[in-house]
Amino acid sequence: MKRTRNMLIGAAAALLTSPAIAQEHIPGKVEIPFNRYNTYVELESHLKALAAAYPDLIELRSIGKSGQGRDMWLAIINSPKTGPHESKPAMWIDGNIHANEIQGAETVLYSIWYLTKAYGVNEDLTKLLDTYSFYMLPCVNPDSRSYFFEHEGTPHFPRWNQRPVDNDRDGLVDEDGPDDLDGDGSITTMWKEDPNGRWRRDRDDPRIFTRVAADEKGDWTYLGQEGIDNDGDGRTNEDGPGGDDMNRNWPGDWKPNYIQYGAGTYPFSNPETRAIGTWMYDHPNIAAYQSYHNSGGMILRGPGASYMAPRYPQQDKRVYDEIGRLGELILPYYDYLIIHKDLYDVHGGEATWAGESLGIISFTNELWTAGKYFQRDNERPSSEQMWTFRDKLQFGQAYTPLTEYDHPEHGKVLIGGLNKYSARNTPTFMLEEECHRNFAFTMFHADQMPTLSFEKIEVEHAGGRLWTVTVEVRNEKLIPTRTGVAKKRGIGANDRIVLEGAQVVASGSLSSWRDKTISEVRHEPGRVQLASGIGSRSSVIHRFYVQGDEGDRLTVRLESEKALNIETEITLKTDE
Amino acid sequence: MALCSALILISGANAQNWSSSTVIGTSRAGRPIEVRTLGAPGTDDLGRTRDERPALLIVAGVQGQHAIGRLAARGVGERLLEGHRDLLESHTVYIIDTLNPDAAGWLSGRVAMEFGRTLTPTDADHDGRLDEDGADDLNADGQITMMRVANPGAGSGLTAEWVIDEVEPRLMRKPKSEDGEVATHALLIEGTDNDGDGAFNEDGPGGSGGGGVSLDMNFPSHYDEHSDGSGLYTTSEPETRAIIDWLLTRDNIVASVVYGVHDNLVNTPATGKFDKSGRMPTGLEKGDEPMHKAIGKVFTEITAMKEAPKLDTDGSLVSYLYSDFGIWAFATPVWVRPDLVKSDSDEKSDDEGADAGKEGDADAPPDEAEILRDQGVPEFIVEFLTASEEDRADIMSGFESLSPDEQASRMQQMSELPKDIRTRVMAIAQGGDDPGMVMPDGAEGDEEDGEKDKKDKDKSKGDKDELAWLKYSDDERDSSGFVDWVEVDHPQLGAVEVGGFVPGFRVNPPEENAEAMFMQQTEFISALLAKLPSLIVSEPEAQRLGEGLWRIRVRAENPGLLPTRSAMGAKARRISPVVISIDLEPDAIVSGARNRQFWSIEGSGGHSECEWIVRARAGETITITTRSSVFGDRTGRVELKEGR
Repeated sequence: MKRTRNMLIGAAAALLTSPAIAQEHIPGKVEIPFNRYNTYVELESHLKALAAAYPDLIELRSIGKSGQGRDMWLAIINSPKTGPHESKPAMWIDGNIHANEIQGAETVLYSIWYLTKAYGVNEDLTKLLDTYSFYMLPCVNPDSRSYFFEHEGTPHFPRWNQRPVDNDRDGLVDEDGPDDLDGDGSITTMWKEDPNGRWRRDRDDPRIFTRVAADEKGDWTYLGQEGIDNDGDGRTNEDGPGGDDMNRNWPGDWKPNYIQYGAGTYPFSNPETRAIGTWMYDHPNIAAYQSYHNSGGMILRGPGASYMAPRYPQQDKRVYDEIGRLGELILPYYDYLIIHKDLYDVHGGEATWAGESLGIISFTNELWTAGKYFQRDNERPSSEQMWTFRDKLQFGQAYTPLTEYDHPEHGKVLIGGLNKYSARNTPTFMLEEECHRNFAFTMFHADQMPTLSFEKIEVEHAGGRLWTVTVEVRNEKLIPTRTGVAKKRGIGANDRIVLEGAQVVASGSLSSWRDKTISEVRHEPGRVQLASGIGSRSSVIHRFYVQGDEGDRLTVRLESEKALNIETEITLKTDE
Repeated sequence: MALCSALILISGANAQNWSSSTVIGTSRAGRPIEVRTLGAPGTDDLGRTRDERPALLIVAGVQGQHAIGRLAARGVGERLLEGHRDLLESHTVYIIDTLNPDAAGWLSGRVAMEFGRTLTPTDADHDGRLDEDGADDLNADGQITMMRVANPGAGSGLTAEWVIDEVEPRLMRKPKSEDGEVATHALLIEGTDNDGDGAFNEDGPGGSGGGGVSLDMNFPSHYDEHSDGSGLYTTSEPETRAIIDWLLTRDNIVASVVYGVHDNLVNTPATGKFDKSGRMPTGLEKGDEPMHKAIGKVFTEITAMKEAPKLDTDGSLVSYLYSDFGIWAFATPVWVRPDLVKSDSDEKSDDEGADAGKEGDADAPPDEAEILRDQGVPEFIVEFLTASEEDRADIMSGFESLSPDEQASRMQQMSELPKDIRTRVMAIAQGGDDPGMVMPDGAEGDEEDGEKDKKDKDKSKGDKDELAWLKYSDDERDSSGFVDWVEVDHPQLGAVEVGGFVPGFRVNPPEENAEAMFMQQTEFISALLAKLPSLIVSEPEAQRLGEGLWRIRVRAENPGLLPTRSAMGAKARRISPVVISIDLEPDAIVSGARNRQFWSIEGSGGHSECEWIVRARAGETITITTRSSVFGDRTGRVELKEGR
């Protein structure tokens, strides 16, 4: 980071409001209910209200426009009195790149809200925000989020963005999308009574249809998704609005559409991904990365494809494992998993790009999982239990009753079923808890970003005008200033230890204070490249041989892209 | 070039309607990137404008030093307008003669360099400084050549790896260590260590020794991430995006020719080789080989080229055009050294040139772990051998924490390993260097090692090549291609010698040969245009089957030689297929899908039939619509007549 500052951690402790907080509740200047979902417009207004209430901590910036011209709102969260945000290690957090996975945006919004209201009130979070900065972008896919709320959706649609694509390859674009025939805001299912049908309607619970055995006769036919064959090609809803799967549109291991479906035309071909990519490349201080998806209760890390495994050297795996394991503990029913092994191959994914191409410790959380419905054990609830949950806890709100509809192609049909909120999005009464636990997980991750300090500095007079200055710089945190993959692949700039104010005639590293001889740095001994950076909870010791006189003042500085630079003044003097 | 300007004057006024120029983007330094469109003005008999007819794309100037490519692209354009307008009636030709205008401008205005990257500021050596250590013209001859340092001193940071060739003392070669020969010289690009970090020319503007971005490494296909010259990320360069964004609006382009430093016409790329995903070909799809070879044959018959530098696929434009954009993509350096061109006295068989491409094409490196597993190596050893140095230390310390039984079992398994592998494991375990794995023939190690092997291979070919270039320079170019070594007082190294090939000499012909190159390329492009696919859709026919029941038929035919889409294009499915659809309500169609999709129709009269049985009344008109973003849309009608 370019700006250099002395460490100011702890200075803010004085700000903490006292007396002790009476209860575990931090009042905020903006009250946002986290038991409901927000449209894009509501999200935008919450963000503006937060930025207005906490002008010192939040800078709300539109980093670009979506395909349909909506702002990509980024909250830059920083405590300016400890330095500009670019000078500190920063964590990137985003959500909702898949538009149907809506609670990602609420989780990021919650994180902005909680972190800022806790500043100056809660000691831990105040210290965190005095040490690090945060870039939080709640909604990566504003156009399709708007579509999800304003138009028809399912738990799985719309996932992609709204770029027009000829999905059915008939030379026409977006000509046969879903049709919300019963006007409930969701695309449900269509059933037709049919003496030769292969389905039977449950006598006790008429919401339920079951397939009959091969030798049995049913009385209903399943017509598929609610909709009309708008283009008369014999298929229904086969070419709806959108798009690209923007989580396949990043430049790390990107593959074209015929290999990775939804990839887009080339990496960053979408304005949304490009805006974030540009921000990332412009901010090498980002040292931690989180993106939110749903569902399944997973804390995912790369590789996205088996052949990318060399991008996860052992030293990085240790970092991932430690954060992932804490995640499993504080996120009940969540598992710490590896994308290509435990899920499927992803080429051109966002978090894998951050991990494998940018060398940043990076996680994707799949929010919400069936285990959380009853919180008894790790088994998925049965379909009967699911109905109990929908009826007794959600009071039927995830379901649209079957109603008759006169369909232009099929005549009299029944339309209804589970709506778009029914499966993947956290039930609203449980949303706040899910937001909070994931927020806490990212704060733990953030708190692992490197912080440097001068552990020990020793000045010795070696005779005549020759002095030695020996400096130990320590990173007390889990994440190294240069991750294993960054070092291995040559990503970003090296760390540097710089001594100014006297002529450095030789210098070199020591592996411990017991070492008598240095391992010499042959060139530029006063501006030493540390390609390996400062490791996880470890130190580097460097000895400079300088020409100078008693009383000379020197400056020693540690420069790093992913840590706050530290600098201190040294005076050449003999110990008495 | 005088001839060129003359031609522009001749074709001038008349060419206006047949050609137009559009700016499709700007370079990083703000220079325009232009595409020239050649084709008959107005609309053709199918109602198509130039941008709606099947088209051929010519791109040059991807690398700055390849001047002949830029000139040829322009020269071919002029000659097509001059003498081949018949071909421009049915097809369009797009020409981007300079994709990398910054490199072209950079090379013409400054000290000449071999490299032709972009001017993108880079920190190639990761030291926090941009472009701080480029090459330097030590002997002030206006060009960057090489520098050889005899017995480099201990403090220089240089290692002697070369000796002066006793037969041709202008050339350097690797010492024959098996004969006890000892290296005497270090050989590097001409320049100083400007930033005092011990490395020479490692981070200079335009990639004089490192740094800059090679556009031909910046495209997404087989992109080699984090390697010198490949850019911050794939498509990071405005020039790369300019051409891709434009291409994506030009579905009508069916084939391309890239004039650059590589060839895939003399060397037919291999088939059956793919990237690590197993799906993207590094050479050709099997189904495209016959046609690619046929075009290659046309090319070698016209140019008589026997050999040419092979295609480097990593992130290249040609690779992108073929394996992602999905069109036929041909590449040629336009000019090669005269001894690589068949002369009249040359009696070698025709097949020789074509065979040159067989060996050693780019290939996905086999997985080292898989090779070990194939040899029956137990998993814990595989993991150990394929791990990085730090990881190995971890694994070894893990071994110590195993129970005595487990340790014994593992030692037993180790003693049963093939000898070379056991030796290797022991060498590493005892703290020695990894002797490396013995790969099967042609195989390469993991990604980093593989890269090194490839470069070494290129180098050994280089030795032989350099002698031939020197001979050509001496015999046919008055020794103008090589700067003789002269002693220069180097500010950091003392006495060194500077010399070597003149930048660009080995890729550009003498001016007097250029005209012949343009003629050849025009002939080739003309031949290629005549072979491009087209689509003829017959007028629909109706046959009465009975009262109110009709059979409707149309025929889609491709009179070109090439199929309407390459095998790769059909696989990539970037563009929707040709769709022929009957405009009737679904209820009126008794047989046949309303929309018929044709992913590919073979060339040379290959055809597809479309038939429907429909219910309709006599006197009605049935409309058949053909939709194709490649060949244009069209509509045919037939009136149902009772008598038929």
